[in-house]
Amino acid sequence: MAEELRFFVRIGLFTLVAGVVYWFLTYEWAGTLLFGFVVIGSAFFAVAIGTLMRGTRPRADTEERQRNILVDAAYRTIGFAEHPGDANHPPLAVADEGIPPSSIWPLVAASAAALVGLGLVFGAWFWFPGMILGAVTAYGWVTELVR
Amino acid sequence: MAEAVASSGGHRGGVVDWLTTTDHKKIGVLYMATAMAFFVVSGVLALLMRLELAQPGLQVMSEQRYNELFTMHGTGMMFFFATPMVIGLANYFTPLHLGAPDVAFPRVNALGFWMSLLGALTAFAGFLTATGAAAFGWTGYPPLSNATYSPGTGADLWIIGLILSGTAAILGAVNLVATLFGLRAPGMTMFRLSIFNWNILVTSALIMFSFPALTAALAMLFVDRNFGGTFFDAAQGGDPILFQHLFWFFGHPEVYIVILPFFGVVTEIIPVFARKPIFGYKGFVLATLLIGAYSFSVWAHHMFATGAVNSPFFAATSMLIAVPTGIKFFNWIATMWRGKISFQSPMLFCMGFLFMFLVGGVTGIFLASPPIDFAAHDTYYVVAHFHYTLVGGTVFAVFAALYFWLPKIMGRMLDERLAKLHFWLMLIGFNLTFLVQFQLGLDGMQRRVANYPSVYGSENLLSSIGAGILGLSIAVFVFNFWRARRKGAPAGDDPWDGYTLEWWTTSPPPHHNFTSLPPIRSERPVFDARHDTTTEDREG
Repeated sequence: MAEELRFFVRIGLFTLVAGVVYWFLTYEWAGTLLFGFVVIGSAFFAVAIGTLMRGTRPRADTEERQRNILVDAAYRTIGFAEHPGDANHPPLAVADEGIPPSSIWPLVAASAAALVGLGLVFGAWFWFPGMILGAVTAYGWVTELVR
Repeated sequence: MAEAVASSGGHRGGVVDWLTTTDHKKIGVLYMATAMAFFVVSGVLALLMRLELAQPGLQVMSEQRYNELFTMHGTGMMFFFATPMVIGLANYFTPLHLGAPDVAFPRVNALGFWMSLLGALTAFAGFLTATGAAAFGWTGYPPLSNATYSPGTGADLWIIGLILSGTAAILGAVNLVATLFGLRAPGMTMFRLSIFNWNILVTSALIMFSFPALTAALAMLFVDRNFGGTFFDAAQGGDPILFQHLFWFFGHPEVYIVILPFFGVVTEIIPVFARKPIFGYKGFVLATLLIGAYSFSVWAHHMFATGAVNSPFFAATSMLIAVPTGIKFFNWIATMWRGKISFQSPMLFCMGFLFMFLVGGVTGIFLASPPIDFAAHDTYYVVAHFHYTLVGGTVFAVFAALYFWLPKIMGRMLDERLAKLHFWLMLIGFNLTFLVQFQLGLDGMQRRVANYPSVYGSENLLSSIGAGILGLSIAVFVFNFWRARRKGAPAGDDPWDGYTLEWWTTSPPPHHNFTSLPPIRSERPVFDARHDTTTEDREG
């Protein structure tokens, strides 16, 4: 198991155990649900990373996996071993597409978000321009990406 | 050295260039500059508070104004100084440590910065309203923060500002995780990452899992205040304790969000100035992972006094978190052991960090014990513990990072004598300010009060004098920085004979960071390349 995946598996396992212990000690919903959200969040990231990594590294043959499955399961899940191929082929490496040119849209998008937020406090004088600016930003940002 | 790029990119350019940049280094500089600006603003608020507290009675401000000052001091330091400083340093140095040209999502990175800045300005804009800024403490507990007890727009602006900057932090964290996983140079395996980057990875995970709880709590509070919601209104079937759960499920990991990266900074600096490899690389990684994990299970030690939480569970987990922190301390000391230690300014600030954070950590273990917490809750003992943890763990390490990395960022050295003057003034001023506050707390002085009985007068005067010295030390740093920008000595590419990849490129680095990279065979590739060592003969 690659370290990128194990990272989130460890978080999920820890919070799952802590959450179960917490529930049976306290029967308190808020904290238990918060633990639960971390378990779900880490499971989401683990599944996403696992999906992205599929096929990026050779699987051990079946006999070897059978032999090692009990002995090495814990170590492979929470240990610090690394696949020897990772040095040359990081499992989640993305192609370097270069640095994007400067763009005004991040600043405009943030301004739109701030205006909408201020609109919740002060009313339509802020959120209406914020919504329009947000729509313009969405168009401008996407257009810039596909250009 | 010969392979380092010759051309210097620098951080120059017009206003439009800065407003539209997607370069991680410029965004990092923007984050750090903004963070330092809010550090100064929030520090001035603290000085005003200490001015008021120098003598019993009300001298310079009303109690309402005092409430606004301590609220915005805490908010400014936690949300608009410490967290953006973490993301700023990570923005600048994470890609450099990885051998990457930029972060994974440069435009989202820029969006995060602008949201963070506008969020901070929104929260502080409360001072411009007729009713003043938020005045219920940086924790914002209802019912004090509800519309009945905190009417006015300052509180709403505080909520909106924090939601904006919290969202920005989440964007930054996702970006950093994607960068760490997806943009590593060939040879840079996970266990060749710098310890700084490991700490940034864990910190990013903490942000991703804890900030949504804060955002949810603030959104619910906003609905309660403005749209007739009853989430936290006990009279209508709501539960104010729920806010505390949500807030501290964010709030305690937040403490580690602003400390873990600086554990990483210190772990990068100490080996360079001790001329030794890190002792126990994987021990550091394990300790970082354990601190990150435990930080999610300790939140309700802040709520012992409510009587509504399971004290033994949270006491046990809070005490357990000292174990991985102890591992780190052991490893830092072992790294220095029999090293050729050079006490230049970055190392001096690391020493300050070690001793001050140790005091903060040890006093925290006392507070993890519910009987002691019941007695010390909401007293100056907590204020002192908190500041030893966060000023010791964050501010000393921020200055260690700045003295270590500003030569890389600016291409110029800061003056070493001024840096040492800054350190000693800061160490003396800080201890004078906060050491007496332990005694004030044990004597029973409540925090968050503008007036107090005269029996506490002498300790408060001493504390206020210390705060003045602390403020003076920051002025020395600002002068040193200004002077270095004008006539600092050229830094060269690698003024410290450093270990990690940022020292392979020019100071400041060019737009694409690197034109070539050394072979990466360990967590200190630049040292390996310059001294022709291999991984096998220095595994810690």
